[in-house]
Amino acid sequence: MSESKNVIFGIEISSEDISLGPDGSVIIKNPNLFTKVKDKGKSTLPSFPNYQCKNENSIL
Amino acid sequence: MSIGLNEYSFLLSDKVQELIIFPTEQCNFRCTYCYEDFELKRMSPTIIQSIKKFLENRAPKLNQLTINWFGGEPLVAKDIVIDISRYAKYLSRKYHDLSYFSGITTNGFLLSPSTFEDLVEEGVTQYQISLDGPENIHNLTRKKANGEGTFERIWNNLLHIKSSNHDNIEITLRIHLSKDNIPYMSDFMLELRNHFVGDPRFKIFLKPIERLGGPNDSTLGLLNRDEKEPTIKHLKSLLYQNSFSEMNDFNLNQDYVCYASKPNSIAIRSDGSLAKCTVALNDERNSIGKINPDGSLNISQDRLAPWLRGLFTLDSETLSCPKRMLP
Repeated sequence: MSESKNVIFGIEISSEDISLGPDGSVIIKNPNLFTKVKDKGKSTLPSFPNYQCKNENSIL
Repeated sequence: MSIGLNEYSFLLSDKVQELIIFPTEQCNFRCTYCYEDFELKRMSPTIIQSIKKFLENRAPKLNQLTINWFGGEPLVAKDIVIDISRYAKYLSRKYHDLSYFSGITTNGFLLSPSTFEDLVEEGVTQYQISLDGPENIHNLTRKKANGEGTFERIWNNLLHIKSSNHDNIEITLRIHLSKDNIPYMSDFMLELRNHFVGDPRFKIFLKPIERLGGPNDSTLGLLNRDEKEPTIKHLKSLLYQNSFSEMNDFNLNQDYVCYASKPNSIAIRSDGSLAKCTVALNDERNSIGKINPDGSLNISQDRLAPWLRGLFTLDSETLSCPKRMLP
């Protein structure tokens, strides 16, 4: 995949900035984004599981 | 796309883990519109142990673990569902910072009263069960592998769930709509209204069927684009009659982000291979790695990255369905 850059919340990030570690952890290489995510990532919002695609507009 | 930093962070957080587990890809049904090929069998003991080791390694670092059961029909392998769920529940008790949620997509046929109680006991509290209309219509499309009808047993299982005292459960009744069943749906809405509307544990999701790659795709009677919205609006007016709609209507958030768009969501298939999407099961772009016997993951970062592209564009169509226009 070709690298694409975008500015999200004032931080330039690209598809190369995120990967998964062998333990399943999310690795964010962009240090600015990483700091913000670590701070906010402590939230424990409940999530409704969408195990099957429910999007009305989805091709699926 | 209106998404805040907090929500965005939640999508990316490595303190959150969602697993979608296929304990088997066999099914006791042969729904006429199904896209699955039932090639893969039951999960082996080695893969089950691998998943437990993954959870054991991951749990101390997590705030939230969600396990969603999928298949095939997951209750064909009920023992695996119970086994891994019990282990996840144990971990959530061991690590006090860890919240554990679990749900299952099941056809409901094997969801007997005792099985339902077993699942709730192990923390499986969210259910998605599909119906295709009243009994004689449902039985034409949601058939057992031997051709027998399935409605009566599913309906009785649903009535048992409704009669239960569990207040921590959520049941989504996914009602499929097609050109073939629409003539029968008005009466069926009244049946649903009589039995489930007003009980806040039940949500009703009206979903037009789609062509998802199954062998009968060319013969499916799909609602066209212009028919969907007015049809659903009409059926909802019968279902809710302007009451209880907030309580029972399954409303898909406009800003819905598919699990396949999230790096912290992984599907584990019954052979131990890893995927992002639960529909594109035969698409090699959806095969992103495998789980090892020690619980570690071999991830192809090149295969993973395209699924996450919506996080870099915040394009709502991509985030809600990254399979669309997947590079």
